[in-house]
Amino acid sequence: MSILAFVTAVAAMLCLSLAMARHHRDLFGRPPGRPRQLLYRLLGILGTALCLLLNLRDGGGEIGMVTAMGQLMGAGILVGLLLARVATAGMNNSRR
Amino acid sequence: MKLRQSMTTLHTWGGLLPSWLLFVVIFTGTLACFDKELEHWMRPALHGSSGPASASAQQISDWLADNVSAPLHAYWIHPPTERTPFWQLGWEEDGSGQRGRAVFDPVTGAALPETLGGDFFFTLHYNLHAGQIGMYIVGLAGVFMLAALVSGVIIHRRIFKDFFTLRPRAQGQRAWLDAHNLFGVVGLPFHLVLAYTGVAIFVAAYMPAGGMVAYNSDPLAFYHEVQGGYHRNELDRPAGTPVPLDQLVTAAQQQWQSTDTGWIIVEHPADASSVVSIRRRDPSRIGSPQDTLSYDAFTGELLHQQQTPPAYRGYIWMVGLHMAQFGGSLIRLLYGVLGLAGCMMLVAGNTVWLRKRAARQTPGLHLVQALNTAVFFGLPVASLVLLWANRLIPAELEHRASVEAWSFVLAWLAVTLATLVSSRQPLARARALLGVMAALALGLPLVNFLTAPYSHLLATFGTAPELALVDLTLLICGVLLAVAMARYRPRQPVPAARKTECGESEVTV
Amino acid sequence: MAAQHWRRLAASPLAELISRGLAALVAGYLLAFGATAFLSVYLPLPRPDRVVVASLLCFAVWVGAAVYSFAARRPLRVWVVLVALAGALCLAAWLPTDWRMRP
Repeated sequence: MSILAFVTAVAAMLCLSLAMARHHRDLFGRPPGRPRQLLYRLLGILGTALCLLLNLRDGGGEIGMVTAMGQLMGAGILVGLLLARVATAGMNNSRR
Repeated sequence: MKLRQSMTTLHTWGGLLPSWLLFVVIFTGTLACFDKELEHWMRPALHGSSGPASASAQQISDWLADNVSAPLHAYWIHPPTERTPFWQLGWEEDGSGQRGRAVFDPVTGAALPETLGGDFFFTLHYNLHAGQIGMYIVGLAGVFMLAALVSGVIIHRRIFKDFFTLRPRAQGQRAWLDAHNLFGVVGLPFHLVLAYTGVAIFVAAYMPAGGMVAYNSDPLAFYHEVQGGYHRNELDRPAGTPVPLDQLVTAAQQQWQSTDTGWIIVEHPADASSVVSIRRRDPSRIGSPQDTLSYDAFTGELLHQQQTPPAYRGYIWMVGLHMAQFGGSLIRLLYGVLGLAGCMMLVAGNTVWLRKRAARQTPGLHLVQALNTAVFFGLPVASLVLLWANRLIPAELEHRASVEAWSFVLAWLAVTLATLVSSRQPLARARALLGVMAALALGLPLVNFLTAPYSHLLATFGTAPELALVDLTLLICGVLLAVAMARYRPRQPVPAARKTECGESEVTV
Repeated sequence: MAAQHWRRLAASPLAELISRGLAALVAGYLLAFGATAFLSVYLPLPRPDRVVVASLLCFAVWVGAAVYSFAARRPLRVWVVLVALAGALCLAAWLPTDWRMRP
């Protein structure tokens, strides 16, 4: 199911971004600890692989590969935009 | 010069100079992902009717014989498909090379009122409606884009660290650089693949070296062997009585054991050498194996079955990857979104160029600014105006398609002129144009409601989702544009400390 | 006087930029042309496949040449290197008259 695959892609990209100090700070106020960073990274890679598998199952080798890449790129942009939103909202709150 | 520094030069100038042309190519390419849906939407005469699809290829061919008197070099017919529920016909006249196009109702076989259709955007995408020359210009722009992408990757210092970074409230050009990087880097595989496969489509025209050296510049030998195609030269003898096209189509479908017929091409129909080629269409594959069957137009004898060599199949695969005619609407949706990301990458990149130089008053600043407004706003406005014209111009008007084309051109000119004469600040100008775009996008479903009783959202919702989605997309875009306009407040003279806060709502175009 | 003026102009950053840009476009195309011709002859594949593979690779060569045009230390050397290489490749491709058209 392509919606499930896209949700997986977004989750995977979110995990990868949370493994980065800046984005973790934007969301939780502090950078991630070393074990947590590794966990996020692992989850991100697993999510990416799962998204790929789901797409390959639905679309077959050729087309599944294309949809998987497309979904991962779309998810990456979406996560970037969402993080920017959260970060700006956080700035407003802390100022108040 | 350090590598990074020299690559910055290449990226800056190799990116800026073709950027407006590339915007036209990428924006219309994004629209062309949905060219068939737009084509269907732009033909209200097709909507609401239903019945057995009884028109036949022969009926279309007969219409051509009755309506076009000039001798024909070739003509081509496409039967209705799920995405294009109508017969399509195209032809090229002998000598003048002039081309024509018509579309037919699948039930009655009657010719539909002419319109530019979604095809307009597709042609604009690959040759700017300028024939051979346009094709070369677009190809050159594509190579510039490849060079800009490669050099962009080389100069990006923190490509992974800043992967998701977007700081809309950062000072100066930072916010725009972030946006440029986000859309460019995250979408990089798409941009690279689409740019490369895009220039590869016309590689035989752009790079004739292979044919020159290995085939001694013999185009026919090249065509025969590389594509596995078939061609018969004119015999300059008058034609006999042709076999009905439908009979050949049935024969082809039996040969393939499938009903997926693609283009039916008839070459020099008035000559005794006439050949009918029938291509197979297989949307379940990226590179549809054309498997063209060529028949003698008068005896119906199977002359040739296309056997494509492996490398040419690879080429067809690359072309297919670019054209996005495989898979379902999910593929086209993803291509559409990533295409928009490409547009955003260009807009943000040009804004970075401006911001970097705004303080220094570099020469050319105003030119870049004016071109940005004229192209980045002019093209979307003109595209929307074209859709308005499609609904407002009466169906029975003669030269209807040219009137549509003029509305597109004039709308674009109007935006350009308004940009040149307006004394407003770029920001206020951008805001006004966002408002125009929002009004055009939101007004279109309304116009559709008033003018086309079977095409508007209320009529198509549920029954014809592919049409309803066009209106829904317009509504969503309209709302987003209106929100963007509302948020881009003109900058007031504010104390420096507050300036960063409205940084997000700035756009310099 | 005039000669000095021209020399100064030729050494200006703008002239260098234009020289590199033109080299990337023109000499870069020539190199891509040479490489396509060369590979169309020397790739160990049947003729139609040789030609298609070589042609599809040409844009990568062109972009590589463009990167080199800007990365190289001396702007004039770019022209010499690219044009010489393109000429050598073309010669190697066209000289074996019968062999280059083998099936």
